[in-house]
Amino acid sequence: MILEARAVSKRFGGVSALDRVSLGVREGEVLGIMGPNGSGKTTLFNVLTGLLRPSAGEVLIDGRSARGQPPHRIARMGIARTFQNLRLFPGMTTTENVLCGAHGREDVSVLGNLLPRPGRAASAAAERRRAEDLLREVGLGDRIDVYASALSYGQTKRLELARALNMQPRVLLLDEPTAGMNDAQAAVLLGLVRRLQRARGLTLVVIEHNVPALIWLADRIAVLDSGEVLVDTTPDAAASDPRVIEAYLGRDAVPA
Amino acid sequence: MRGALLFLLAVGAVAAVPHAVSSRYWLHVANLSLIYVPLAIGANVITGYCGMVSMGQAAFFGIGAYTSALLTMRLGVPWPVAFVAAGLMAGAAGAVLALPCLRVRSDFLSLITIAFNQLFLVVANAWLSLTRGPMGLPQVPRMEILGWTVRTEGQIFTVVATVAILCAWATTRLAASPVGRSWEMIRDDEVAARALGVNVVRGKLAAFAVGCTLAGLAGSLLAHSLRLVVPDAFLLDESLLIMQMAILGGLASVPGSVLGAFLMVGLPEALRSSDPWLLTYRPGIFGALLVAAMIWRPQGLLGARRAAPPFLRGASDALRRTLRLSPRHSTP
Ligand SMILES: Nc1ncnc2c1ncn2[C@@H]1O[C@H](COP(=O)(O)OP(=O)(O)OP(=O)(O)O)[C@@H](O)[C@H]1O
Ligand SMILES: [Mg+2]
Repeated sequence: MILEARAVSKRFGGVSALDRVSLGVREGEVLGIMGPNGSGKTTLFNVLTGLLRPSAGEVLIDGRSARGQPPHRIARMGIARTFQNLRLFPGMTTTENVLCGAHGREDVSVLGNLLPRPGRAASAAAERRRAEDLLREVGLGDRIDVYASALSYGQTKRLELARALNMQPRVLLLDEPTAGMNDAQAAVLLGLVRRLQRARGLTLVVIEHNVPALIWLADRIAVLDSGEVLVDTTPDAAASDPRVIEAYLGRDAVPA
Repeated sequence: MRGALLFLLAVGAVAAVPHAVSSRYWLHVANLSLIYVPLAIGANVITGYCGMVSMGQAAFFGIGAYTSALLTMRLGVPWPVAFVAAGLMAGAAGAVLALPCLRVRSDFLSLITIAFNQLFLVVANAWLSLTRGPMGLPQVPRMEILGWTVRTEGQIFTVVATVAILCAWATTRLAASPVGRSWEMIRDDEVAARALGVNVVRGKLAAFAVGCTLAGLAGSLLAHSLRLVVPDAFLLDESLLIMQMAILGGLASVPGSVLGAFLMVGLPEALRSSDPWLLTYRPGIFGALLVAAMIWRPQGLLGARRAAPPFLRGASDALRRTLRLSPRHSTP
């Protein structure tokens, strides 16, 4: 397991958002996560990336405990994510936003950046080219150097994807990458996600409400319900599991 | 290319102004404004680039002034060394003050800086054997660089303008570097910054220390050009003034800070004899201007696009709502 939650619980006051969740993803695998609203999916991502400390249990990266590791260290260990409600820097351009993903491999000491250093201009130019290539790869080739605040909603989702990819992550966590899109847009975006995953051999964890799309994309599907892992199985088995149908498909599964 | 041109222009100005401007008075006004340039830039690093608030920059200004004056007077340290030491001392003091606050919650820092400013004044007034208290340190030695003694206002201009330019250059360079980008990430969205691998405490600490170092350097310039260091030069009012310079001049804009320093120090000083009220009522006048800026231009005059940190956006939106104007920033 490259990234794993082991018996993770997370309580917010009286609310139990995660209840002894054990779930892992293997290198190169696509793990799909579904579950009704409020079932703890985003909380799981927050715990996996160190933004929240689990109330019990622990997160393992490459089999080693990440207990007490701050989020920036976990990010530098190769765990990247996108956010359900987008967290772009609207005052920066698209290219600058993507460059933010390069932070972990850059020299960020004050003195180091004040003193002259040979090769700095060349490596900055290389980072810039890499960022522009990524923008083209996610279909924003015509939006290079445009302010992020000027993008359409669908474009901002792609920009956040490019920024996360620029971290050159080993595991990429996508929290509802198609939220707020119509079916056609969602299909195109998930197609892009799948192409990127195949091309890079990425390990991917995707939270997604669109069940057919998730079955198409994922190698394995876990269903969360009220903070518990209800099912952790193959896509086909998940689709026909009566508990899934009751807990998830039976309700208003696909939000507008 | 543009940088090289600006640099040549600046060098030309530094060389030409003392010859072109014969009035000692105008040179004095320019010098005082230029001493405030590193201060304003420092406050801008803290607030404009990194989104924190320091209400105690005058204390770091003072630490630099006392450090430099005492090192030259008591230990006979050459001024250039004392100048660097003044910056390092203020920067270190800033780092020591900020670290525990940032570990807990960074909003504490703004409160703590106010307390620190007051504490600094108490110490400066009470530690008679070191600072001579309210009487201050008179006859601070003139600046002296490799045997060249800085005597006239014109010569002082050359030095303070050079320092101001170097500070502006260094900050511009930092702001454009990965460090500057990480400061803006922290300012705009700490959660996103963390998830992207930014060590937020380290980034804020660096920004705060850089801001305080610049204040310390300005302190050394003040001490050796006025040749007098008194505690009253570092009151809390002064900290507010420095903050206002950074905000009104323009957040996340180095030229904005230069403008802020000349507007808020140079202008009232220039009108001291004809319109002394401007100097007397300066805190009130610029306070009112600041409120106006909050309503119509929260990033300041030359401020960068969207550089207003979250607390200023909040203040701006609250004011606009009170006036029944539509808020500019708030997201639901
Ligand atoms: N920071 C927090 N403070 C308090 N309660 C929280 C917090 N974050 C999540 N919760 C609660 O934890 C539960 C799980 O929330 P979570 O956001 O993980 O659900 P989700 O599965 O991502 O839902 P959605 O499909 O709506 O995104 C909810 O009851 C939510 O109200
Ligand atoms: Mg969620």
